[in-house]
Amino acid sequence: MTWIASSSKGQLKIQQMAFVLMAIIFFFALVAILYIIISLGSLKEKAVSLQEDEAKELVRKLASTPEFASSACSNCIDLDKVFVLKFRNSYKKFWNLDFLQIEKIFPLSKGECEKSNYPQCSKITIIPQEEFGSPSSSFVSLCHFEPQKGGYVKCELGRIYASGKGLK
Amino acid sequence: MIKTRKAQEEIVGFVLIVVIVSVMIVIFLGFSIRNNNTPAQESKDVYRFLESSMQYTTDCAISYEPAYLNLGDLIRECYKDASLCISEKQPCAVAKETLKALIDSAFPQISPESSIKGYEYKSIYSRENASQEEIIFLSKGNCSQSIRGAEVLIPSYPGTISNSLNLCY
Repeated sequence: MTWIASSSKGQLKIQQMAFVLMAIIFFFALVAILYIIISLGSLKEKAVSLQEDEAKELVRKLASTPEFASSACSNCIDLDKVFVLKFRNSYKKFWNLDFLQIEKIFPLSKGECEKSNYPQCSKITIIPQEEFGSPSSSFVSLCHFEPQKGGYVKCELGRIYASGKGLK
Repeated sequence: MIKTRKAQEEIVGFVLIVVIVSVMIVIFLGFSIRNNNTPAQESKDVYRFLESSMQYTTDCAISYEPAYLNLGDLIRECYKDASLCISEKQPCAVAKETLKALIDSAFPQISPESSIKGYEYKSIYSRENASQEEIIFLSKGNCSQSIRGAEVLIPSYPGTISNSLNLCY
């Protein structure tokens, strides 16, 4: 009888232990699920931000191609070259892009660059397209030859915008 | 007596488990909060802005016109504090004025109502085994919350000038 009593007590103990272990495992599982949900949410945000960064990097890369690059500094765009490209129809399909534009940010100026107002203008649209969605952009330095005071290379702050299959 | 002692042991065991679990929760929460409030997240856009701004041709020429300095060289001149621009303006004043105009034009959305609440710009000279010297400091708006920014270095023998811009969200 004593043996049966102590045996059932032992079983009870084992049951207690099993319940505590189950509770602990259940608790940790809940915490792990919560952590995974939170980290998955931030993973999506990171993926979107990485895609944006990649597109911006590609736009930036575009700026360092020989058609745009300036000898004044690395990663600078030669605005004079770009202005000439604007009038060359053969370059419209060269980059496989739907939209390509260069905008001067500072000093502030207005209007699309034409032969009549260059370089006192704001934008050079090389590939115009009405439905281009949301283009990727990157800050660039825009350099051009300034004939005043004997002539010098003047660099200003700008942005390059691009969208299309060529960026993917 | 034996029964009471056993019960006490079980309670101690249970309390121990609760304490261990609580400590783990606190550590986990601590890590996650620290990860969310990183002092400054790297922003490629801000880096490109700083990199391009350092090439910007300013209105300050030191030796002759039209040898106008770019912003990077002007900040270097500002640190040396040895000469004036031909226009008799202080290089530091021209650098500050230009930087402010560049930041305001590039990030026009900075305002208490928008997502970017403010900014902090710093140019700091540092060299090995010497204390850091602040050359330029510009700020606007409220910068108490999360920050995204970048840093660009300019060599200035025997040290370097670190130019950093932090946008505050």
